[in-house]
Amino acid sequence: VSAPAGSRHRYATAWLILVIATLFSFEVLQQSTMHALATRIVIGVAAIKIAIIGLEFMELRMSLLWLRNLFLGWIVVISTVLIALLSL
Amino acid sequence: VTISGESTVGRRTVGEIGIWIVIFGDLVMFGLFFSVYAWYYRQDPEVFAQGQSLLDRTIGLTNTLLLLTSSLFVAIATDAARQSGRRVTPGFAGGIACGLGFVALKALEWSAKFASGLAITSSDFFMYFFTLSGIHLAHVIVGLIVLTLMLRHCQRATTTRNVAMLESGAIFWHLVDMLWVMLFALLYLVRL
Repeated sequence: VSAPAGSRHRYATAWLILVIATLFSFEVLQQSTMHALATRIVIGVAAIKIAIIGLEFMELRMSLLWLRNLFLGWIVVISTVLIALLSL
Repeated sequence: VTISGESTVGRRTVGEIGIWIVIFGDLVMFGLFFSVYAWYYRQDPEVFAQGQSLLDRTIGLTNTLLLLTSSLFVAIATDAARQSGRRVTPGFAGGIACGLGFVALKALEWSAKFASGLAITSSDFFMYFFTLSGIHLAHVIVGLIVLTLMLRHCQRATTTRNVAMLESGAIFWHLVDMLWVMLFALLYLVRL
């Protein structure tokens, strides 16, 4: 079974978004004096990056829905727990 | 339509079922590790912040970029393996090179810490830092072995079974990448 045409372009786009998000998180912490807010942003951005890696590189975007939803559910639970533990 | 009533038209789960059991087992385990770390960070933020100030964030950033790039290489190589006539070797070789770069930087970072007298017993922060990044490093090394085997494997004829094995190895490597994304945020970036 072949991946859809243009998958290389999708992977490259995903990678570019991941790199930009990484640099954004890095800069947010370097510049910000509001640590609690910055921490929430950093955890949120990390959760989005994990979702992109799973959906695009692991190809969960095209997988069975229950598997994709289980993965996305894990991201929501863990990022919520981390933000709650670190900022409440 | 599956027994759960879910439409499978146009959908395909890559890899073998066994690898997804490993993936979700690791996600649950690391989820617990991340939560325990956050809990103890909250209990003693001064000690954790002081420990974080002794880390080289640039190394953490570079390692993140290396793993993201390695995932790109591996994804492209896996896609190429599914399509006859496309070269697979450069992608896996690029992924391995980035992974080795990660290990080299990690070794450099740890040796600098040991040289300055820091160890796993120095503080609660460094106990978590060395333990969590050590467990992750073990995953990186296993992933590199898998990628090397894949590199040798993909030089043989590409069959459906071979492709499923390559996909499974690639999925494990992407797991290594995504776990580091959260570790980088927790160990190097968060501040209270």
